[in-house]
Amino acid sequence: MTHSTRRILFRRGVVLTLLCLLVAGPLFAFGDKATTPPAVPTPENPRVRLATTTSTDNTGLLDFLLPEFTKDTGYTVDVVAVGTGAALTLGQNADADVLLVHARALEDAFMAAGHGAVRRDVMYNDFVIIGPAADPANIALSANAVEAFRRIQASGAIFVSRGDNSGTHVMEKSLWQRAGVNPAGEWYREAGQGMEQVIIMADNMAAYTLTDRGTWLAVMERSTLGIRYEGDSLLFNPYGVITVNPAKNPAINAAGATTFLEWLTSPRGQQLIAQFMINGKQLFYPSYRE
Amino acid sequence: MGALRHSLELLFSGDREIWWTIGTTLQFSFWSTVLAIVPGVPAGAALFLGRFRGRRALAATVNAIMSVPTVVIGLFVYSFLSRSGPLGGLGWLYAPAGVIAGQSILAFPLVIAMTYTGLQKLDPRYHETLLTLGAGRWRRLLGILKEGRFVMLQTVLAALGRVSGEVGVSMMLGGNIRWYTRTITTTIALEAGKGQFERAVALGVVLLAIALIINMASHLAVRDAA
Amino acid sequence: MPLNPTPLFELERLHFAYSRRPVLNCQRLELPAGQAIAFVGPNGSGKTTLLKLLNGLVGPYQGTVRFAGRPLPGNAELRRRSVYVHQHPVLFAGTVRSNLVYALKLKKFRGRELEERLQSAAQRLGILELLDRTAPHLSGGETQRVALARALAIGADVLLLDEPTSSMDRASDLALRDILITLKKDGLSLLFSAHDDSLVAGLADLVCLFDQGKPEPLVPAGEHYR
Repeated sequence: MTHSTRRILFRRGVVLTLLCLLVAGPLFAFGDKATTPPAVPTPENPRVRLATTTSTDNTGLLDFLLPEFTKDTGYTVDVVAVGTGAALTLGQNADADVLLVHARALEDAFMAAGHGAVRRDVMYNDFVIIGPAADPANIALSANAVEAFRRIQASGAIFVSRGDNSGTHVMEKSLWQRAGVNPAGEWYREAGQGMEQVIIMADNMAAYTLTDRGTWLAVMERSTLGIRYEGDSLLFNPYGVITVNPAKNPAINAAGATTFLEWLTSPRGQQLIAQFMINGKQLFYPSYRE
Repeated sequence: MGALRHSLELLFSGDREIWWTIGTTLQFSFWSTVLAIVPGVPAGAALFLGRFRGRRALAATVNAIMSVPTVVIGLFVYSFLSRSGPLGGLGWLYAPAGVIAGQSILAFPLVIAMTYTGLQKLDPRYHETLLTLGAGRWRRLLGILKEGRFVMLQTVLAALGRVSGEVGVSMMLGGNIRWYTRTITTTIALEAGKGQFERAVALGVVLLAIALIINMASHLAVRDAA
Repeated sequence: MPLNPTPLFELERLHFAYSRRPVLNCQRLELPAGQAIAFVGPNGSGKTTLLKLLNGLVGPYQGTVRFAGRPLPGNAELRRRSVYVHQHPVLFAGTVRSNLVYALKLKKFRGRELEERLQSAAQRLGILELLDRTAPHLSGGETQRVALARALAIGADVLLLDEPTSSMDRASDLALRDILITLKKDGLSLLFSAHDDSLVAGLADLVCLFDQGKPEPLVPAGEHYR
């Protein structure tokens, strides 16, 4: 064998090895199908698609609840985490089977339009206003949430908005309206991202933002911001679960959606919600009443 | 620097989710590349061999489609795969099949264009020799692809690189569902946005390694061809 | 002498241009069968283009070209009987033998007949001892002989040769000239381009002078040298 052919063979070997590695990757992945282990019950259509808000996903609540749900019922839940507005749109297009959202007015409109089959209260927490430690707008002195918002606007401090029609965004817009402030201008930044992303952004800009308490507790230790205003009854944040009307599309997993809704509002589901804690703090309070 | 070390430790600490994500990404990339290559290479070769009117215009169109942003392709495919869209019955949206379909559509024009331009760079004497020896259309196609096998290898690698590194299609059609459609790029987008950079950096390193492996293989293929 | 036999090739009002740059212009030209015809002229005068055009390798063009009385595009007899050999021929990947086998299989030769044709062509071109070599290990003269053997094996009797002896050392040049003279005696039609007078003087029956894309009428080789 000549030197040059040996070199060519070597190079071919290298190319082949690299290709094999790329192709073998998928096979390894097949071998280690790390999805949830097979459960005792086996439903006919075992995948349920849940469209939900980033707050339930980012806090880790779903990571805590869903394995238990799968253990109990055999259903696997595919979570698409978007804002409440987008989640409702997914439901409207029949691209989700069940929704877990928090914007009561939008939810009622959704039900009234016939997009949903059943709606139930699930849990609540509250919104808080977070901001830099110096609190340049002095919102800690506010008498209520509306005044806090007025103070932010008046101080010229930056406010980061979700800007994605999520439940938090809807709440924020209603507060601006009550405050008589038109949220626009250099100080008002619409991010168009999830809650955690927005908190990180606000931190980087030393800005204020409105967040649900759950997400805040989950992100808190990675942030230099802190709660600057809390406690107004206006900031009450209720979550609802809605099964999408199965008449919209035959592909909707109605049985799975109903199972999820029933489970979440069952004594077991409600108890698990109450048990979910971060750093010893409860994030959500079960609220289903028959 | 400590953060980077921590990220790499994450990779080798047996974190199952990270390796699952890497495996899933490779799996998606592999299948979407296969699905783009199977019709794309013959289409590119046909474009090269064909002697029909408007061939150049078609080649230019393919080149133009290649630069359509991934999110536009994602949006386009989304409108078909949504349950309220024409192909909703397939149930591919927010499922691996949707990601693979979108990524192969993304890679398809790339494969055609790379095959076409690659064959153009191939010595024209090969094609003329096949023609003068009386090879029929299919024989010529096979002969050209055989002589241009390094071109083909490069095309495959480019397609792999494109689909493994894109985020628009995977995000829109896969929905970034954990243990189901979450890929390296969608995880990076998610984790970086949440400020959890360690996981993002670890996966960024893996993505970089994949890109490097692909480029190295492509480079060796060119050298072998010369 | 037969009255006006059908010429091998007839060209009428031929006009051919590469992207609007005229390359060939010919009012009328007839090329008789069974002769060695040399196309002589400076580089870029259109000799190579004419040889390729006669083999159907370039086009489309204006005017008419006939082979054995029938117009060119889609002329099955032309494909069967004529082969074009490049100035620097290319062989496909593999050995000399596999190159001959490939060409023979294209023409649907199988089994014993294939082997007999392979051996006979290899013997006529004196390449029996090269059969197991691969393309990169052949000299220019050897490659040229393999390409001719490939053409003869599949039964071509009209050879279109582009500068067959260029870039060869003196000895291979003479050896190839002897082989071509033998082929002419065996009744093959040889059309070749050259600017080397020794090949023209030793081989050609007729000479066609080229001037900037315009072939002049054929003259017997003897007259050309007067």
